[in-house]
Amino acid sequence: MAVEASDALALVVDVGVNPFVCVQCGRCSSGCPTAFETGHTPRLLMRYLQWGWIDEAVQSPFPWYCVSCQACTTRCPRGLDISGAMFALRRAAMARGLMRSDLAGHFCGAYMDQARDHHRVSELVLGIRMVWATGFRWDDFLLFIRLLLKGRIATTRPRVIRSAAAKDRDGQRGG
Amino acid sequence: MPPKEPLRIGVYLRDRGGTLSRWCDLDVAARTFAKSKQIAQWEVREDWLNPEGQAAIQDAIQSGRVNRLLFVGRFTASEDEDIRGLAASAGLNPHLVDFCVPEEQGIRGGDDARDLNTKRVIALFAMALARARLLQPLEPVELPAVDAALVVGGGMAGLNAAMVLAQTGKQVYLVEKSATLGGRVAQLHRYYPRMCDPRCGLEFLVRRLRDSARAEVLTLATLEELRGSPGDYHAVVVQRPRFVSEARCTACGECLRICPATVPSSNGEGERKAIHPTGSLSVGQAFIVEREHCPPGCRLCEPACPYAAINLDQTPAHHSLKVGALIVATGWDPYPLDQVEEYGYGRLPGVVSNLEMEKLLALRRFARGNGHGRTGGGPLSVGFIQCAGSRDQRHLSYCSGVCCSVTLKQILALKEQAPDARCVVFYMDIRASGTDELLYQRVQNLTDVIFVKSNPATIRPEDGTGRLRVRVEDTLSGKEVALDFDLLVLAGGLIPSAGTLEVSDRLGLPREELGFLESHLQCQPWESQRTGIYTCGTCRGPMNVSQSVESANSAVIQSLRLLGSTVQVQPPYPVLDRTKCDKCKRCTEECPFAAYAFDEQGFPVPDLAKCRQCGICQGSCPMVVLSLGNHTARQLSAQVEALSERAPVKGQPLMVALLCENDAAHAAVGAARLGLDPPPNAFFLTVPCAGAINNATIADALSCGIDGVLVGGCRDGQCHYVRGNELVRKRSSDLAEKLRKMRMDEARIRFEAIEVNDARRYRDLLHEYVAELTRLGPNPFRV
Repeated sequence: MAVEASDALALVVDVGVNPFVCVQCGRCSSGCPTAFETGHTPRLLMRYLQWGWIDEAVQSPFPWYCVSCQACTTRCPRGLDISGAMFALRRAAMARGLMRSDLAGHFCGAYMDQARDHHRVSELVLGIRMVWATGFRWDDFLLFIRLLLKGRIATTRPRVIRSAAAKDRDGQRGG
Repeated sequence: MPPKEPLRIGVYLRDRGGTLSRWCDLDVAARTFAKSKQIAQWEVREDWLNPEGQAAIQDAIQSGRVNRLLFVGRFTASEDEDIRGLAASAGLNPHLVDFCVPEEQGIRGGDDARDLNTKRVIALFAMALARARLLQPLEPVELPAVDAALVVGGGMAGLNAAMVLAQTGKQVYLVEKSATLGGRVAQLHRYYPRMCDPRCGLEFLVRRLRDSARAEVLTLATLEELRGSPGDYHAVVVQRPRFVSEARCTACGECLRICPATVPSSNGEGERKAIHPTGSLSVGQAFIVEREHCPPGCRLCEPACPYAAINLDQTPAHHSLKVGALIVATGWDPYPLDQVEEYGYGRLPGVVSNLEMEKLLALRRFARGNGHGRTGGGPLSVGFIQCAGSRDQRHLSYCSGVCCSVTLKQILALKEQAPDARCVVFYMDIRASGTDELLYQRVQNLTDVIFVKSNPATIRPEDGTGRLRVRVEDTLSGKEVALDFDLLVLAGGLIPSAGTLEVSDRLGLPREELGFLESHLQCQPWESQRTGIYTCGTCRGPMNVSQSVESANSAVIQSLRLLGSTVQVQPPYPVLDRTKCDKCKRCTEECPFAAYAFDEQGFPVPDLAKCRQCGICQGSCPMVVLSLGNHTARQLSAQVEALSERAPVKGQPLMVALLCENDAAHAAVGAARLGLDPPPNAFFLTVPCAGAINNATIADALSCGIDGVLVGGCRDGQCHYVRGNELVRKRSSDLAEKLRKMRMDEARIRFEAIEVNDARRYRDLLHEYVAELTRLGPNPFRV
């Protein structure tokens, strides 16, 4: 029995999810819009966590495909924040340097960096980073230009109107 | 016999608001029967229950103008009773009052239907009159009864039953085979859902029983014989010697000091003396001497007892008890898990049954400091294998329904003693139904409890460490896992106890296919198939403690019917015409409740207290000499014959349906209520059970020209009287054979399972059958 308190499990428990509460009903996975992409499902990841198979859990591609639509969290009969648990797994993977090098990993990196630094995402920057990160490909680049010319990609980052209190919090966080 | 009174039938029609005369012509009907000499009065009224109507009935009876009453039209059930009561108060036996409801047979629709409906009503009147002519006055019977009950089995159910009986003021005898009360529940560490110590509840019960002047507890006792009938049983109970007076022993323990004989304890925990205390309860448990362990000639304990409670010369005692009812609560045994060879029970140390786990938990074997159970250095790891031998065609085909909750309870208790213990539950399905789900959720909210939907195929001891290696497929992750355990608990199922089988054999209580005592589970779960012998607890089927307690209470409430100074048996009960009976014993064989015995001359005698009035005996009698009150074969035959003379439509098949009043008759009445058109020549008659239909009735119907007889009973396995529906079918296959020899079509008898809600199907069946009979052509016996 290899259930050991580890970084990943600690992170999951940290977001208020006790994986043993999961009854493996599969409702999370049945309703998941991206589970079919990877062959892994949120249910399976909860099972890995029950067994304490942390390596399998953090190496799974699935958390990177999670779009945080919260369908799983909303539907969970035991009230588990599965979506939160998936994000905890991403953080655990990043902490271990297991940032994925594929499209999903790069997208997450590009998206989250901006979200962290600017609270809003510039599609222009996202596009450039994705084109760059995936290794420059002409067809991708031309698609990007076409979308840009048709005005489908916003060139400016939406302005964030931040309250004084929020700015205050940002100051406290050092960001 | 008094001289036979001439028949004077009063026919009273209720035409409330013209409901009857609207669809049939009552004048035509009146004219049809005007010449009948047996009809003394024919009167139509709006109401018969208003003061004038009542006065008219009373006057007719008291003046001697009528001696049979036939009421026609719709009456409610309570009005039926009122009318019978009225007749009784006027001096007429209420069983000489009969009712005929023409609407129930269905009213044909359409413009020209009035004429046909009138003809149908006339046929019905003819049938009702034929029946009224043969009505017999019936009287209730009073049988002797005793205000005492016998409870067999001193476990949870038996103790509860005994206590409730004592509380209701009945004398109660509790017979327990072992030396101690409490049964299986006394062996448990906790019971769910409240996780109490069972000894708490048991001691309460035992103390209440001991303090009650009306309860007598006989331990070490077995029921050897039961004679008599419900309400008035005579039971012989043999009590093995305890050698210690229960009335005197104070459990002071002086005898223990002096007893020289030491024997290993029965539970494997240390040693004990030949004289020792019994049971784990602190109340009401005297010491016992196991004489087989006493050294030859040793009588040291006798003088040592300060209360003079010991008598080593005690012999078995025979108790002769008069009781009105029996409550069987003989309980369960655990399934012998050594038969589930792959799990190594009894062969591998560390593999225990769930009942043994209770003991380990009760001894607090897993608590810190006790150290026991851990074979390695790490935390304790315990595996629970569910359905060990259950839901398995090689062992028990059924689910015992409690083992899942028991495992959940044991995990909670285990985690209380060893919070770091790692538990794995191997299961097929977790069946924690109802509020037991909360128990399941409590366990899920613990950490380090994993539920693996997969059962191990084998268990191997690991070399050196003594741990047990289990390899299973984790179906939920699709991976194979190998796990090592300090302890494996097999969740075995419940089987009827050896005592249950013994009592069943001794009292002739039928067992269902799983071996538990049979009853009609849905309608009368509390009563065995022998009237007066009630069952409760796990001898009836697997159940948990709370269900067991409830079943005990329901059994007691039902048994109260038989406890008192007399038992009233209302008609109809079977009556035998001894002048014609040829003692063939058919009735005794077919009676589902074994109500028949033989008198000195060899005649079958129904025990009216045991009889449930299904009439299956009447249906079985080849001589047609058994009759059930006013449901006799003769009356049925007379009705059918009357019908054959008054077929409403000539040239169309005439059919009669004989319907069980529990199911099929409701479908027929329902069809009429829905306004479904019956075939013009189809009528039905009700019988108490399809099994009450005698072959002679069917044969009579066919020989007087009825084209087809439809027998409507319950579905197989649903008969209230065990298998009346199957019996009539079996009997009638003989009759069909006879029909073939007479070159008549077998199709003239037809059997259908008709349920209460089958109104439309019933109507369709009738039409389809009539169509088939039309194809067959007229009955060759038709005149």
